[in-house]
Amino acid sequence: MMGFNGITVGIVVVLVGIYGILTRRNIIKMIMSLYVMNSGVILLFVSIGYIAGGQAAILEDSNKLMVDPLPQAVMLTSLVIGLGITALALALAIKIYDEYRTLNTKKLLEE
Amino acid sequence: MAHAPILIIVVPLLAAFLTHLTKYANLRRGAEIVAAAGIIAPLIFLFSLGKTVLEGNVVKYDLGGWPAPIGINLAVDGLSFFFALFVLGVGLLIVVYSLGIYQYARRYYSLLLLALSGILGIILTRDIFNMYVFFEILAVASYVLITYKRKARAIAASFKYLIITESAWVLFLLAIAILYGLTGTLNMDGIASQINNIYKSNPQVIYLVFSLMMVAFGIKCGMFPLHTWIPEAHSQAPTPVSSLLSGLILKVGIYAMLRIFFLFFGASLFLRGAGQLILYLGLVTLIVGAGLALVQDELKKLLAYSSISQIGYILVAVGLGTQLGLKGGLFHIFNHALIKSGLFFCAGIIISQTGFWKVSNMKGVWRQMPGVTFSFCVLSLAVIGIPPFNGFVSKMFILDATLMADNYLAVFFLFTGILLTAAYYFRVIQTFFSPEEFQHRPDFTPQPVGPFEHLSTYIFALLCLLVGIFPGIIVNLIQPAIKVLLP
Repeated sequence: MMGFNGITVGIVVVLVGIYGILTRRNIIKMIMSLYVMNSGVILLFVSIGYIAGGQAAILEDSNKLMVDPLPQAVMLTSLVIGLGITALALALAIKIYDEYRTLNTKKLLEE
Repeated sequence: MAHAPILIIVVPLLAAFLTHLTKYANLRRGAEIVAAAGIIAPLIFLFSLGKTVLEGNVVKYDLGGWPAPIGINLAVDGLSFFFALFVLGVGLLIVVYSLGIYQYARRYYSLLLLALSGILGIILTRDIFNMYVFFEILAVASYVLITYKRKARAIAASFKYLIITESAWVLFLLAIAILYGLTGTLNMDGIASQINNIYKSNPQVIYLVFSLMMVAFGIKCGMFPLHTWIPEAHSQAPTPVSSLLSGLILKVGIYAMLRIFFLFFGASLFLRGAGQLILYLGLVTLIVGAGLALVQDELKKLLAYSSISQIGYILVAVGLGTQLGLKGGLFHIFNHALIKSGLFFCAGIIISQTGFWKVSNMKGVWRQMPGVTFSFCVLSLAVIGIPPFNGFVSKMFILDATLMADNYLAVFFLFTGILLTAAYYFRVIQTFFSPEEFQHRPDFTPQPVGPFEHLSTYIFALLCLLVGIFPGIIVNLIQPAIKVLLP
């Protein structure tokens, strides 16, 4: 199958996330879309450094086929940031529900 | 001072955690002392580099001793020195305002220092992924700072800000991923050296990266179609946080634009009309911001829309991309940071004394608080651009640059913008000096406001006057920054 690799799937997942964030009006669904977007980028970035059949980059035998370790290291950071942001967003969602008794952004704007 | 560049970032970060530990020290107002020290120390480190940087050199620093393509490296050059200087200066004055009668908790100072550390990191780093991480640190700290007083509307505003900004950073990360795939490095200088060859073989991918970054930084700095988070977040945040948002955080978006666009796309895209795009978006931003401010009755929201409008001026100057244009743009960034922080302080004092949010209720306020009203007048004259205040100098540079570029449409809109700015600020001033007696809100007890709050607004007003009379000092600081952008 042509082009069916991590990069294409990553871009599709990002687009799904963008669609979700633009069309959903429920706060929880917006947070989910945000995380979907983030995951798409992570998949894309890790796929850039991927080589089929490659091994972890531990330098003992330089003839081995190795994957690029930098995207993995960098995306680990990004995953942690995504987790933190999602946790904060959910905490805000709880507070918003306590105050307004709704999770619909349209109703929030009416106040 | 071999380690000064990293200490500038790390000292506020450590101080952010130290503020919590002052609970155990037998110290009156310990958190405030730590916060002030955490800002003054980086200022000293910055000054220790000042002489070398202003002579046109670049101070480079490799984190952990790993050289450029492997490790992260920091660099202090003219542009980062200029930005770091005013960020720390305004940060210090924000702490001075926060010292007042209303006591902020340790958590507030901790987050403030975290935000400043994030801004300094963005300014000094030369690694593009590292820049993203610092942007996230800044963003998280600012979301929590907006909700500090736990008002319902502030929480909703913070959530709106979170969703919009986080989408921006995901797009920025996507741009980083594409750049890494193309060049195999995350170091900015490394990417910049390869981008011309990529542009020759595949221009579309460079357009894609440019657009992704344009949206991301446009959201951060409040460019026209992406400005929607600004009014709510600015008006609902506690007063010093409004100043932080408007004075510093919006400017960080502009900084990233200047740094990355001029370094990466300077040769390939700016000569082919990318500058024009920024210029016209800037014109729309300034007219839309001014128009919305004109019909706004809530004082803090009016100031927020005014920020959007002034960002428009800066974008016009950045889009021109000429020597004179950048001089005006950088000068206006500095001036706007001073003016708008001061105006938000004045608005905060007036609102906490009267309990009214709307301008139409503030008739005759000057009899109640002449000092603050006077500062407000000085600062609003400065933002309109009336001599002898600083706004006049920078707006004149920008107008001069557009005239030199023969862009008469832009000149027309810049003048219209100045007239609109005058219209909405004079309306506020007119209400303040209204002959009617001030009507107190019956159900409201004024919150006491101390000398520190007043002092900070006077300092801002005085600085505006001094910079307006002696613009040469700031121009000398800007010259090395322009040399970095246009080598």
